[in-house]
Amino acid sequence: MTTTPQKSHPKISDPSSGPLDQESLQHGLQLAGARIYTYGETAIVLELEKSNERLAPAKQQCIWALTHLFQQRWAEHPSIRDIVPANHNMTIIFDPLSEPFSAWIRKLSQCWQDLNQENPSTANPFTGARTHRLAVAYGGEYGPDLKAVAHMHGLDVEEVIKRHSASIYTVAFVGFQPGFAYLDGLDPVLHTPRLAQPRQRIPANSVAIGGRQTGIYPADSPGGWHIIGRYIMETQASLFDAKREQPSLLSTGDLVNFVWANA
Amino acid sequence: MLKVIRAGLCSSIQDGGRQHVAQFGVCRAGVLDCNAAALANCALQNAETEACLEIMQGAFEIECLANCWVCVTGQQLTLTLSPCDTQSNHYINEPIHAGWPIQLHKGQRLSIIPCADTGTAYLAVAGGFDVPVLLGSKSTDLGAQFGGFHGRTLQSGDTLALLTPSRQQQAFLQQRYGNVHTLTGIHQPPPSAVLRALPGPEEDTFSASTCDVFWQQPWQISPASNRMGCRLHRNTKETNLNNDDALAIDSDNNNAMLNSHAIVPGTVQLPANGEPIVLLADAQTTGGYPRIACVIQADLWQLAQLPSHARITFKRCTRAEAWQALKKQRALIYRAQRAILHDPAISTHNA
Repeated sequence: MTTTPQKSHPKISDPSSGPLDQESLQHGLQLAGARIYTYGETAIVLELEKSNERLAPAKQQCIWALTHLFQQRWAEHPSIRDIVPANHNMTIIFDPLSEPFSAWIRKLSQCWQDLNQENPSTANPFTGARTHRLAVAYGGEYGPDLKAVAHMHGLDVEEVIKRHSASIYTVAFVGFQPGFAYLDGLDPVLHTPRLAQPRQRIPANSVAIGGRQTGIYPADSPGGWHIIGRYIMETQASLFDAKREQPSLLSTGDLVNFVWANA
Repeated sequence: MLKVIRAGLCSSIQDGGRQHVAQFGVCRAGVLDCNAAALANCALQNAETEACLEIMQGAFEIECLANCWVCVTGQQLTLTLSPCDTQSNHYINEPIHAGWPIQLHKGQRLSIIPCADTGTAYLAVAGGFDVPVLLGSKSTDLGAQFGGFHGRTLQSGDTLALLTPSRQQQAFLQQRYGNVHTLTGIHQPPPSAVLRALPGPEEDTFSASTCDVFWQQPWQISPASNRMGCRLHRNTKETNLNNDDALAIDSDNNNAMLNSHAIVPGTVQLPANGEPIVLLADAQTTGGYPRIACVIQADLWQLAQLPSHARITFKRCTRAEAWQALKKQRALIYRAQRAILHDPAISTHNA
C-alpha cells in the first residue's frame, strides 16, 4: 500500500512560487495545519490536521472562514460546480477540463495561506453568520424519546429541556438532507449514543440528539437520532424551501438558540 | 402536451443537475447518463442539458395531445408508435428507431417495450418540458420532493406541458427529419462492463488484500440500486473464503471515526459489510464512509445503461486518463451536434 502523504511528500511552503509537478500532487499537498488531497478527477479537499476530534468549534471556524474566502474569490468562476464545507474539511468540485487540476490546488492553498496570515482565530474573518431563535415544542407526542434520554442521563425531563434550550449552537455544516444543519455545542451532559436500530421514519421538523450533536430534520426521513421535540413550523419559516433564494434556513456558521415554547 | 399512459417504475424529469447548492444539503440530481440525454437533446436542437424524461425501468407509454417532436435515446430500446386516429402519417407499420427525432401527431401513442437488456431511456422534446426551474435546474429531487414534475416520479394520467420550440427550430426539424423515415438513429456507443476508477482518498486505510479483491473481482449490480447509488455484491461463484476474510474491514483501522466529507457522484464507498456502493446523482451531499475509489466521470453513464444484474469490474486508471476520457466524451457530443447540423448523410455515421 502507499504510504501516507504526510510522510512521503515534503512540506511546500509557497506553492504559488513554483510549478507543482503532477506526480507530487497525486497524493496531495501538505500545508501548515492542513493538507490538500485529490478526490477523483473533479474535486480537491482541504482537511485540517488531526481532525478526528469531532467538531471542535475553533477548528470548524477555520473551515467556515476558508469557505467564505474561497467563495468570495472563486464561486463565480465558470468551472466551479460546488464548494462544500463539512466536518473539519472543505471540498471544491469543478469541471476538470477547463483549468488544470494543479491550478485549483494552488488557488485553494493560497486562500489557506492568506487566512493564516490574517490569523483567523483572532481576526474573526467569518462575518456571514446570522442568529436564529427557534421555537420548539418539547416532549409528549412531539418528542417520543425525551423521557428515555432523561432517564439515560439520570435527569428529569425538565432539566433536559432546560439544558437543550440553554445552549447557543453553531451550524457546523449542512448536509445529509436539504437544510439539515449539524449543530455543534450540545451540553456534554446530553451527549447520547445514536439508536442501535434507526427509525424508518422521523417526522419532518423533529428536533433530535445524536452523539455530540443536535439538529432538526427538515423533511420526513429515516434516522438514528433521539427525537426530543418538534420545531413549530406553523409560526416560523420552514427549514428548507427550494423556492427561496436562500433555500436552507440555517447556513454554515450560523448561531442557533432553541426556545422552549410549550413550557 | 404529453399524457402519461404507463409511467414505468421510476420515470422523472431530469436535466444537467444542480450546482452551488450542495452547501445547503441539496444533491446534484440530474440525468444518470449525460451522453444519452445530450444526444437526444442535440438531435432536436435543444440545449445539451435541457430537461428530458428519464425512464429507468418498466414499460412506458405516452400519448401525444398536441403535435410535437420527440427523440428517445438509450441502450437496447424497442419503440413502437401506435397509429394516429385522426390523421394519416408516415409512421404506421414502420419501425421506430431510438436516437432519431420523430414527429408525434395528436392521438398517437409512443411506447417503450422493455427487455432484460434495456438501459435507461431518455425522452427529449423539442423546446423542452415546461416545469419550474428551482435552484437553477428543472431536475426532480426525488428525496426532497421538489423540482421536475411536482417533485415526484411520473404516474399514469400525468399531463406534461411542453415549451414551444422556436420557429427556427421547428423549421429545422421539419426540413431535417420531416421526409426521412428509414434511418437507424444516431450511433450510441454501447456501455462497457469495465469501469475505470481512480483510487479513493481512503484507499490506503484498507488492507492490501481488500484492495486486491476490490480491483480484481467482478461485482454484480444489485436490484436494490437506485438513483442514489449503485449497490454491488460479490459474485458468489468467484469468491473464495480468503476473499471473504479479506473484505472484512480491519478492526484496528479508524474508518468508523472518519469525519463527514462532501460526496461527488462516482465515489465508491466500501462499508463494513464489504459490498461497495457507487454513489450516483441523488447521493447525499455529505457522508462518512471510507472512499476506496472514484469511478471517472466519463464512465459513470454506463451504470445507467448496463443490464440489471450485469457484472462489472473496476479498472484502476490515472487522472490523466480520466481527463482524456472526459475530453473524448465531450468530443463525441460535439461531433454529433455538428453531424446533425451539417452532414446531409447522417445515416452513414451509424454503427
